[in-house]
Amino acid sequence: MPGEIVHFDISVDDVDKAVDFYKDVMGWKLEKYGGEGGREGMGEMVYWMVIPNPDDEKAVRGGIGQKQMPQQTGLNYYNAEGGLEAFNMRVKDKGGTVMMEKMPIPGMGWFSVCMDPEGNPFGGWVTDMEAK
Amino acid sequence: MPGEIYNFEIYADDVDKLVAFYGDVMGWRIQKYEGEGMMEEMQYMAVNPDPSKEEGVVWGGILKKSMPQQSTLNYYQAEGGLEAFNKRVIDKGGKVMMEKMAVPGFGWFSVCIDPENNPFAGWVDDKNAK
Repeated sequence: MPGEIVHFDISVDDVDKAVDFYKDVMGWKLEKYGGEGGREGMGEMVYWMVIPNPDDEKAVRGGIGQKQMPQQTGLNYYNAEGGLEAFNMRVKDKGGTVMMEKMPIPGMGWFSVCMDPEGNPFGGWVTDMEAK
Repeated sequence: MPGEIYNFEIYADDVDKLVAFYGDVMGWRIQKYEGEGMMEEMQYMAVNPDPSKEEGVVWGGILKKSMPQQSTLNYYQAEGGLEAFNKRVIDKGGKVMMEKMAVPGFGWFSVCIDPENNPFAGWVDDKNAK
């Protein structure tokens, strides 16, 4: 459904510490995707997939990843109605900013990173198994 | 399910402006929330991304900032109740910024930060909360 939250990201300097923290506090199941020992094709950035409900394929997942910029905080990704190009255009038309244009997560989909008119970050998401 | 996201909140200086922005960009249905115990100055607008579903969809909110540094906040189902949740937060090097508070008729929440100061909240469903 367009507009539904599909994913949340938490960005930190010390990923191992944050993984340890959230695993205990939330009871999350985590799998390493990015970085050394992660999944193939997921890149160098240290990234752990958060799977709060392993029994439900459709449950919202999250991630704990290495900060790429000091000011980075967490952000949520929402299903982008009409595709990312249309989504990004609406963001700009309404006074927001597109920080990162369409990027693939291989085998999963495409995302963009935006800011609303007050500087709050959020992401657009389109599911696509063929993304690469 | 413990650890699942329950609600997301986006904080604004100008609530009307962000309601207009997200309504257009996301296609969200956004309505003023005037539940019991809700303070008028919060200007809380409830976000329902899928009006066709009563359950199984994560809701959100757009509301007035009460501190300048507020941005977005996610609420997660707290395993074992909020007292246990808050204790785990403190034991693991995080902080509890706001102890257990009621959302009348819905449940209880607490607001915390992780060891790197990222905010998040714990949530427990309770229709009798007040």
